[in-house]
Amino acid sequence: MDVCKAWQQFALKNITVEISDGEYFVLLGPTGAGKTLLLETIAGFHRLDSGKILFGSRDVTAVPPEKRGFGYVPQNCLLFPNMTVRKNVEFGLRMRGQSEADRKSKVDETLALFGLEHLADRMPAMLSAGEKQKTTLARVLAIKPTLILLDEPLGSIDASMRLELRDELKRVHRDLHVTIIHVTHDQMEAFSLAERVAIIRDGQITQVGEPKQIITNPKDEPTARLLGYENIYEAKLSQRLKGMSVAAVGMFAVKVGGIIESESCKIGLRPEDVMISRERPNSDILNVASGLIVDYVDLGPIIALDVDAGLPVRTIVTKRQFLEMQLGQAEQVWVSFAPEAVKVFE
Amino acid sequence: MIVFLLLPFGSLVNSAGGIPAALLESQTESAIIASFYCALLATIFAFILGVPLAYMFTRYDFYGKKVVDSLIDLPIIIPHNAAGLALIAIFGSGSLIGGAFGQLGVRFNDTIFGIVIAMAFVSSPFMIRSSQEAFGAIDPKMEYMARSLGASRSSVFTEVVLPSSTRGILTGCILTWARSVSEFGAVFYLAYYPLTAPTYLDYVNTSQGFQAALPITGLLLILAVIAVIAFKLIADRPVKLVH
Repeated sequence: MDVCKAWQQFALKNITVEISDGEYFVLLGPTGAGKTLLLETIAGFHRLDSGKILFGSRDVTAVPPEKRGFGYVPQNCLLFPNMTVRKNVEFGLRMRGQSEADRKSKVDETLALFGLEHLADRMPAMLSAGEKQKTTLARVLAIKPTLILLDEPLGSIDASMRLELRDELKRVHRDLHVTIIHVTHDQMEAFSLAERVAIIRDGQITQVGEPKQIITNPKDEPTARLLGYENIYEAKLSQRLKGMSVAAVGMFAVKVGGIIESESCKIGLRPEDVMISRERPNSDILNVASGLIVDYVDLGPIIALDVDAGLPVRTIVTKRQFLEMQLGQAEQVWVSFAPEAVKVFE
Repeated sequence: MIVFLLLPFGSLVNSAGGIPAALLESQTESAIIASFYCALLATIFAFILGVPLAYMFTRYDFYGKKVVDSLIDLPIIIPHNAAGLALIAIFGSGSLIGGAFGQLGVRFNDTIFGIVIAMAFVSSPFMIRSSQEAFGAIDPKMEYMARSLGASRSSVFTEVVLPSSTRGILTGCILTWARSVSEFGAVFYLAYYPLTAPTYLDYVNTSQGFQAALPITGLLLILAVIAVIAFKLIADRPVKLVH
């Protein structure tokens, strides 16, 4: 597809992207990036200002939504409140003029696929959030769409149901080999499901690639921040060595894997790439500094620590590590990280 | 405030004795039936034209939308006798539209057609605004979804939008009908005959005096109370939307 679209306060600017048949493709971006607008435009709910949407060799740009054969799952489920679960799932089949017998067998099959048979005669108001989401998915899959468009499908679900639904989405994709475009602002959700990820910001796609490639090589600072790079610093090039550079960050000389091209840049580091210890690490390769823990945040199974090592450093440890090392506020620690973990944004 | 609203019912004290006789009077009966019947036709007219307009306002933007939107409430603000005179200018036998309809054998002056037009003019805003509120409460994405599942625009309206907005539209119909029944000013000028309940009351008051009009007044007040209670019961009943 190649699209431009302005709508209310949102705009898509020259978005060009190709998605393979059967691919699980995720659009990752912050709120207001234009993710939902792009999805709705693909579904056919908005006319393009310019550009085309091709599905295979078929130009669907001017095709109305009901004729595209795409399944759309909005945020907040939006089941039809006046219909039971069965009638909701049957809706698309009925709109396509299928016979009653065909509809019944397909609906039964789809309800069984999602374990919803016992809820068939319930009204949406009587369903839990997870059950509603499953019903919404079942409703879309019943029509056997050629493309499924998911708008933050796990957004309104609690943590335990989120894991279950995420597995459900993986299973659906694997078993049905259907192309999926999934929109989210949650990087964990994106990287656990996607075969490829596109970063979208201010109506433009800034980077596309496999999850591992994107997360280890974010193209720019905003993308890095979106991907959880919390330690980002202004840096000046000090030295270029063989296969490595040294950048001055305040009083510190930071070894960076790779060559820094420009004199000034920004460098970033993910918290999980920063190691913490009570003793000074015995290594000439690692970047090492000592500091005091100024604050920590208990995030359940992990704890985020803010260390003042002459420059602010955020790192994360497991709760077990936190207790075993007897970490706490004002404790003296050593932080270290590999040169390869440092990303440069020119 | 409640006392203020109930004050007119104090007239029942003086008129109660004459109410049964008024009810049995054939002209009274005809006037009430004419009011109810014409109000029903006006409601159907307002429904057919007003509900799609309300939907269009809720879902679409177009040039001049704000201006048109403010015009919808005009019939409520215009003095109803002024509305009646304006309708004569448009639908009277000597007018362009009135003359054209006259060629087809349809006359508005002093006919049921005129009464229905006058009633529909003053009461349509209630239908449109109630329907607008009902449609506005439906998330547009629900309609998007229905379309992606294969529903055409008309199917989306009948299968998704209407069932979800039934209560609001029903309320609009009730308000439109009630407003139509009570309309006097516009009907008086455009179509005094056949007599509706308000114009009949005016006729009796003018020709026979205040005392003769009181029992009819009392009767109409009682009928209004019965109508309000009936409508409240209908509007508050759970609307069974199950498809």
